[in-house]
Amino acid sequence: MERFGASFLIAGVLTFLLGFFLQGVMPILTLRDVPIETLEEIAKTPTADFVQLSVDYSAEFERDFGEVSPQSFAEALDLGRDLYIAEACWHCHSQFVRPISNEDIRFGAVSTAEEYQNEMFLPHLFGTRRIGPDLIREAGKHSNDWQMAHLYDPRSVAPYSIMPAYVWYFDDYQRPLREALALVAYVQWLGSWETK
Amino acid sequence: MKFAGKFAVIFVVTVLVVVVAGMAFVYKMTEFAMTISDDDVAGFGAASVMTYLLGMLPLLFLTLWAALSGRLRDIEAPKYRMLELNKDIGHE
Amino acid sequence: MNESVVSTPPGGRLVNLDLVRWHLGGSAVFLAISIVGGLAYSFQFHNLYPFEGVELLSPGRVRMVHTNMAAYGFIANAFIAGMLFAIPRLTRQPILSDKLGWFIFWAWQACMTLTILGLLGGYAQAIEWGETPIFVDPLILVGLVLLVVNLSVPIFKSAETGLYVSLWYFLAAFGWTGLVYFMGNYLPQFWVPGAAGAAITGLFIHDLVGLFVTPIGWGLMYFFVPLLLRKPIWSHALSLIGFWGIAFFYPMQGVHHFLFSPIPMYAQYGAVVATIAIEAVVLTVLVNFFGTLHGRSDAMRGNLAIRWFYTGMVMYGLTCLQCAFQVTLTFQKIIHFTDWVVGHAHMVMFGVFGFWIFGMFVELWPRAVGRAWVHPRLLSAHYWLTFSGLALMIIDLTAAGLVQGYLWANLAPWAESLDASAPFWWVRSLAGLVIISGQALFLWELWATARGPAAATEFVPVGEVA
Repeated sequence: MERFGASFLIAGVLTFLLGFFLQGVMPILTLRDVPIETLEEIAKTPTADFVQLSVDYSAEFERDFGEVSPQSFAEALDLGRDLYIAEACWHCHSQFVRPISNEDIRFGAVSTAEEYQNEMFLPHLFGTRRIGPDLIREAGKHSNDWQMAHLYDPRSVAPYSIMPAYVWYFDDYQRPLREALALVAYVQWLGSWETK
Repeated sequence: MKFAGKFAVIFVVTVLVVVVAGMAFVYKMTEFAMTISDDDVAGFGAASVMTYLLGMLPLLFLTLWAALSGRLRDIEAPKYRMLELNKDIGHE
Repeated sequence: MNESVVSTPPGGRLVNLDLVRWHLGGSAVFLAISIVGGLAYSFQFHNLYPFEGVELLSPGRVRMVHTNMAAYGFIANAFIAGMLFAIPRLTRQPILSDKLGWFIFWAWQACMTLTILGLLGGYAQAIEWGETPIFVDPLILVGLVLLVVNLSVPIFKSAETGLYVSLWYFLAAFGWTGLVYFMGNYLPQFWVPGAAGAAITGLFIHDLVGLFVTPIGWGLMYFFVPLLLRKPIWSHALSLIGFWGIAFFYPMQGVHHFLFSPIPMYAQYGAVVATIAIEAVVLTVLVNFFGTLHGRSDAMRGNLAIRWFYTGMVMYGLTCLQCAFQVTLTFQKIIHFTDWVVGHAHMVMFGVFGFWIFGMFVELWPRAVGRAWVHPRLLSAHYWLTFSGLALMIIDLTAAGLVQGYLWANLAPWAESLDASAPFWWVRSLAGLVIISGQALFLWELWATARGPAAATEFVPVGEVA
C-alpha cells in the first residue's frame, strides 16, 4: 500500500511540473504586447450621446460636469461605471454578445476580446444572468430622454419591465442628479465604438 | 461486499479517474502549448494560471510531507482510528 | 460533555464547545438575513418589491446581501464550527489558541456586518460571489490566514500516524482559500481587465465553490457519516483518490462560466473537457459514501442528520450530472443567462452544502448548548419543508430557464419572455415562502433548545429522531 501512495505522489509532482511549464511560463510569453487603454485615452473624444446630454439637460449638466470635455467625459464614465456596480446592474444585464442563439440579430455585433482591453473593464462586467437585455451594444439604441425616463420609472416607457425604479438619482422635481447623468452617459457609451 | 469485489470496484474507478481526468488535463495542456504562437489569444490570464500553480504548491508540500513522514504507509488505518477516537458519537 | 473518552490535554478541554456554539449561532443569524433578502428580491420580479424607492434597500443591493451572506455568513460560519469540532477530535490536539479563536469569531462577524453595510451603502465590488466591499477584503484575508493557523497547527502537532481523509481536505482548503480569495478579489479589480479578467473571475466563482466550500464540506462528511453510522468509511484509499482528483482537476474549470464569451476559445474548450472529466472523480466520492451506507440504509429513516447528509449527497450527484450536460456548448446556447443557472446555484449552495450544515446542526447544536432538542418533530418538519420547497424551486427554475432560452433564441420580443416567465417566478416565490417557513421553525427550535431546561443526563443522544 505504500507503493500506492508513492505512485500518486510521483504522478502529482509530474502533473504539477507539466502544468507549470505549459500553463505558467508559456502564456506569459504570449502576453507581452497587449496594450491596455486608460480611461483618459478612451475619453479623448466624447460620444455624440454625451454631447447631446449636455444639450438635453443643459442646466443640470453645467451644474454637475461643466462643459463637454475629455475630462468631464472621463469623470462621467467613471462615476457611471461605479454606480452601475454599486446598484449591481450587471447582475441582471450582461455585457457581451455571443455568436449563437441569434444574439447578433437581437443585440448587435458579436463581442471580441479587444473591445474589453481598457480600464473601463477593470473589473470586467460580463455578467452571468439576463433578466433584462444585454447592454454592450446599447449606445444610440434609445435617446437620452428615454434612458432618463426609464431610469426614473421603467414602466413609463417599457410597460412590461420589472426593473426597479432608481428615483433616488433624481431631485424632487424629477430632474436628474449628477448620478443619473453619469449612469446615462455610461450606458450610452457601451458599444459606442461599434456604432461609430 | 467481498474483498475481491471491493478491490475490483476501487481499481476500476481509479483507472477511470486517472484516464478520463488525465486525458482532460493533457488536452488542456496541449491546447495551451498549441496556441502559444497565436497572437489572437494573447491576453488570456497568465495571472490565473500563476495562481493555479501557487495554489497547487501547498498541496505538493502536503503530499510530500505525508509520504515522507509515513502517513501513507497503512492507507486504510486512519478510518478505524477515527472511529476509535470518537466512540462517544453516534450511540445507538 | 463526553470529551473524556479522548484523552484530553492537562488543564484544558479538547473541543471548545463555546466557540462551536457561537459560530453555529452566527451561521443561523446570517441564514435568516440571507433568506429574507432572497425572498424580498424575488418579489421584485412581480413588481411588488416591499421596499420600493428605498435607496439603501435597492433590490440589486439586497441580492448581493443574499448571496454573500449565504456563502460567507451562513456556510463559512457553520463550516468553521464543524472544523472546530472535528479537527481536535481527529488529531487529539486542541486548536492553537482559544483567544485567537474568539478573536476570529468576532472579527468574522464584524466583517459580515461591514459587508452588509457596505453592499447596502453602494460600495459593492463587481466580482460575482466576491461583492464584499474592497475595504472589507483585506480584513477577510487576515481572518482567513489566522483561521488557517489556528486550525492547522493541531493537525501538524498531532502524534497520530495516519492522516485521515478529512484532514487532507481541510489542509487543502486551508492552502487554497486565501489564494483564491486574493486572486478573485484583487486581480480583476486592479490589474487584469476585460476578457482575461473574466477568466479569473470565472476561476474565482468556481474555485470558491470547488476549493473552499467543497473540500471543507466533504471533509466534514467524511468525519460525521462514519461516526453516525458506526462503521468505517467504505474505502479510505478510494477517498484519497477522490481527494487528489479534485485537487488536480478542479482548478482548471473556471472559464466554463463564460462560454461563448470573448475569452479565448481554447480556454473555453479546455474548461469544458476538464468539467466533464471531474464527473469521474465525483463518482469515486459517491461510490464511497453509498458503499458506506450499504447495509445501514435504515439510518436514512431513523437518523435525521444522516438523512440531511445523504439527501445533500444525492443533490450533489444530481448537480454534478447536470454540470456535465450544461457545460457543453450545445446546452450553453440555450441555458446560459437564464434561470436554469439560478436553479443550479441554489441546488449546490443550499441543496448540498446547506443541507449538510443542517445535518451538522442536528448533531452539534445539542452538544454545543448542553441540552436535548425540545421538539424533534419540528426538526423533521424543517427537513420536509426545506426539501420540498427547494425541490419545487429547482424544478421550476430549470423549466423557466428552458422557456426563456428558447424564446430568446427564437427572437421573440423581450416582453414576451418576461410574460412567459411570470408564472415560473410566482412559483419560485411560493417555493421561497415554503423554505422560509421551514427555516422559521428551525430557528425557533434552535432558540427553544438553547433556552430550554438543561439535559437531565450528561450525555445527549443526538441525531435520532422519530
